[in-house]
Amino acid sequence: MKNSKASMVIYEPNKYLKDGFFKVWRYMFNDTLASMGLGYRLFIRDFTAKYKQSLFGFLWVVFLPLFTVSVFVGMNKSGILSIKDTNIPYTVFVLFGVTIWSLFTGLISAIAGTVGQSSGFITKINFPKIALVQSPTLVSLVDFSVRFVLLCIVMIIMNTFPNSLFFLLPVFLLPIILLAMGVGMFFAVIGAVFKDIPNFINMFLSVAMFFMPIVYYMPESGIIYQLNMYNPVYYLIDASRSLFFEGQIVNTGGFILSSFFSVCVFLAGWRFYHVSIARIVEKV
Amino acid sequence: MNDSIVIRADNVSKKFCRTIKHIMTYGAIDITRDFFGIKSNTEKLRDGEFGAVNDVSFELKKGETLGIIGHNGSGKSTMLKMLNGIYMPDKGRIEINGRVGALIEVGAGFHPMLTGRENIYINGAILGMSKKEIDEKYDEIVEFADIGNFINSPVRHYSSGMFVRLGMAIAVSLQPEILLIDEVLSVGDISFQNKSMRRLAEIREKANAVVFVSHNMEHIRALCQKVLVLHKGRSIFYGDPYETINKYNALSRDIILKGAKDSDSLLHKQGRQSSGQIEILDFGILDISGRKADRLRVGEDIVFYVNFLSNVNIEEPLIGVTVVDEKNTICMWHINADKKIKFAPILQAVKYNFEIRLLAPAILPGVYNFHFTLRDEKIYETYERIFNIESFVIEGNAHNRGIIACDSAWKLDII
Repeated sequence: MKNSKASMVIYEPNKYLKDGFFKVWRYMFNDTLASMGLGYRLFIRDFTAKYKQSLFGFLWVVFLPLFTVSVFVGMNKSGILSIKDTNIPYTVFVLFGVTIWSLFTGLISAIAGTVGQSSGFITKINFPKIALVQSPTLVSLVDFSVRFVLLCIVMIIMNTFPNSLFFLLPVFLLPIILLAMGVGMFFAVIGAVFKDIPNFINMFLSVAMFFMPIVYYMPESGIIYQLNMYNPVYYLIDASRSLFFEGQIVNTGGFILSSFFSVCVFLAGWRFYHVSIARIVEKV
Repeated sequence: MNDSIVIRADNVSKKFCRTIKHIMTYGAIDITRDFFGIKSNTEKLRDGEFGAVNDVSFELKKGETLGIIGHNGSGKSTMLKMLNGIYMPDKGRIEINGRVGALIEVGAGFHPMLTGRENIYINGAILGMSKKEIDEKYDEIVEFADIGNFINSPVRHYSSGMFVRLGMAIAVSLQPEILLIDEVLSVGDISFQNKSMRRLAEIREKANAVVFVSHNMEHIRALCQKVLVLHKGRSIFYGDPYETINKYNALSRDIILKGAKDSDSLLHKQGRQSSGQIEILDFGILDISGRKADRLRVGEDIVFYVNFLSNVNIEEPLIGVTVVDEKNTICMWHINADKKIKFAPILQAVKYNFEIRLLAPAILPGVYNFHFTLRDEKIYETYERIFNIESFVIEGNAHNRGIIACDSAWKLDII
């Protein structure tokens, strides 16, 4: 054999310890690159399967934000909520918040469920398991783009226009995506063993929005203020909104710290996923 | 590592948890340890764990085919999954030299909602093929699967035969250097099985090594140079196929016999249809030297006896003795009336010893059972009918195809 050294694979216990801390990062990176094609295939699969048997197809993606927005706008109009002093129309304000929030939650719950859903074949076929994360990530990003188109349509109707720095939005969304992916990968592993985790996440995320300044402004004081002082998700969503509409970030320090935190969570979640997935395969 | 060695397994062990509770507890502990880089003592069995594979070693050189055989739960599939890298060994070391392709379960990963065409691309990608490779092999796959227009229908509308044919077609389109196959040759009808066998033979020609798990000894004999027998996770025999398969067959017979003996009392209750008038005092099998035995050799006389006591008079005793094999095929059925043998009436409250000597029966190695019946021919009364009263093994190395041992003379002439 020509390059027998290169193609020799060794399986033994505690392999990650023998490989050492830094080598594992390299393997993680190589795995990710190698599984791009498969990740894309799985994405096509999940995507087609999702919309194949649905009458309204993509409309489902925009139903939820539209519904949420109409509830909040309705409550605001009827005086139950009293959010008046937004610089942009309240409808656009809420829709933007909900769109970003659903990107965040969609990523977490899609990634968290991925290992459990694939239990049928992860025990039968050996492939780079990171592809199971790539596929739901892509699905969530596509869902987000559809919702973003809805946002643009609503903005045109409401005669609202973004700031000239709007093209920086993807950069500001990156920390949110990384944070969600990190959390998602962490729970993907845990959730495959503890089946109640995905249920818990979905319940938690559906309630969490009301405790964060997403459809309202951060209050000056009180319990919501106390809670969100240390909430990176708030800083990230708030920064992307103020950049998009006002071209500035109110709390730069908070945003930078939160972004740093997001990167750490992403790397930790990724590594956690990588080193423990082999253990999970034998336990699902 | 010697260049010609393609697979080396060195004292490989794997353990699993018995209960969901242990899976969850140990799962949490193990992944926490792994994440923080704390070394786990994976060699020790914790409470609630069992060894699925224990200390298995073997080497496979270039061009060789290894067959793994064993009873259900002996660790064959676990071993294969470790070779494939799906499971990490808990002890020992596996070295693999070359690109591995595995057929562990046909059609794993198929999405029921998607068409055959879409599934070919997805499954191919999961098995490690690039889009270009699949594009090139697409026609070949469709032709091999032979499912016609169904290729554009969702897989969930397929018959089970079409499902496995498509899965198999994708799997055999791989061109791996090392091929791992788990009991997949038995899918489809005979013509599809033959086609799969031919295709595998082609893959084998090009592959460096093949590891093959099967229950079909004919396939093992035909394909393998080396055979590994696993029993309760341990490698008990390893070597030349002919010898190993004979040992494996002997082991199977022992296990079946032990199973039959262990459940004897149970079988008695289930298999006994008694009038309640007969008391069975003793029964058994004697070998040629007159000793009680349950292991006999091909071509030896077999003596079967029953001691009993009757509570009634039986005017014209009609006694039947039957020998059946594992599959309940009747191999011999003797009734005294057939041979015009008349026994004196059986008197009540007297102990009798009944004995039948089967003269050098030509039955092949295997596990057999005696059935025993006692009737009164005069009044058509069945007093006793006991199925599986006693089991025995015929030892020997002859291939147990069929049930009758018979010498043969062969000829192949031009006419």
